[in-house]
Amino acid sequence: MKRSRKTERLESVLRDNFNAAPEITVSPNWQQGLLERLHQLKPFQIQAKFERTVWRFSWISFTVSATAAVILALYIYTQAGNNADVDPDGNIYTSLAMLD
Amino acid sequence: MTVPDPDHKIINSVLNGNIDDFIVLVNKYRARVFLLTAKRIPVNDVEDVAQEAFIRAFKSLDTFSRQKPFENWLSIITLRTCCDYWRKNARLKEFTAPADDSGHLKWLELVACRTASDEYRKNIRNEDVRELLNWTLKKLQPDDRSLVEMIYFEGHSLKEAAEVLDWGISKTKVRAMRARSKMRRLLDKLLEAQS
Repeated sequence: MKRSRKTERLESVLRDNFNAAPEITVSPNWQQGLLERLHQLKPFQIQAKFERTVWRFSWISFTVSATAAVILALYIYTQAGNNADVDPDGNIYTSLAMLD
Repeated sequence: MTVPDPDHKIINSVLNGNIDDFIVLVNKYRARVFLLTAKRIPVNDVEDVAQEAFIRAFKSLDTFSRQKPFENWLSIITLRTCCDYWRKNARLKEFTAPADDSGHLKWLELVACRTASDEYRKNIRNEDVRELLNWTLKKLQPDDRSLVEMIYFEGHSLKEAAEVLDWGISKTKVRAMRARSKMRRLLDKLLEAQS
């Protein structure tokens, strides 16, 4: 459907009105208010940075611990029984012989 | 040889704890922030939103990458702050249609009349048109509103709009097309009601 020319014209008027923003008179206290808010923010910002560092450290610790646990578990699993110098089948026969 | 950006020196100073130096940046870019805000936000709230934009910039100053100019970075923060304003206010306020207002109808009649193009362009800051614009934009979702403003009214690229809204290009493209279609349907209805 071909767009109505009226709609296009209205859209164009609204666009021009949007771009011709009203002139704003900034109140004299605006900058002072902003500066006060910035000074109030400082401790919070430092606290936020500290919290971020703590979280980062916690994540790194958790990751390292989990990796170490997995490696240890794998090592135990793969090495289990390697030190036995007696054949398991032989053990069974020895045990059976002891029953006699 | 590249000339060091003077803003970087001020940013370093602020990050080292000299908060008052941030006011140098505020004074330098205040006009830009107010211009972006005044286009989008009701006059009564412009100062608060502009202040909020500077506060957000200050809070995340340590994340400023310095690969782009500070002004661009601040503009993105300002546009996001405006978008958040409408997200927050969309749930709180009920908006009434301007249909029965004689001022709006007069303007719609002028728009409808082909020979009157010069007439309606004379007073482009006209308050009735402003209200009509606000009514139309308030009918859109906050994100769609931001897209229409950035892409169709200000001529930003899809990539820039996607960066502001933190979306992918495809999503931005689809949403922008839908938003514009919705806006045009609204305008069609207004004109139909007028005729």
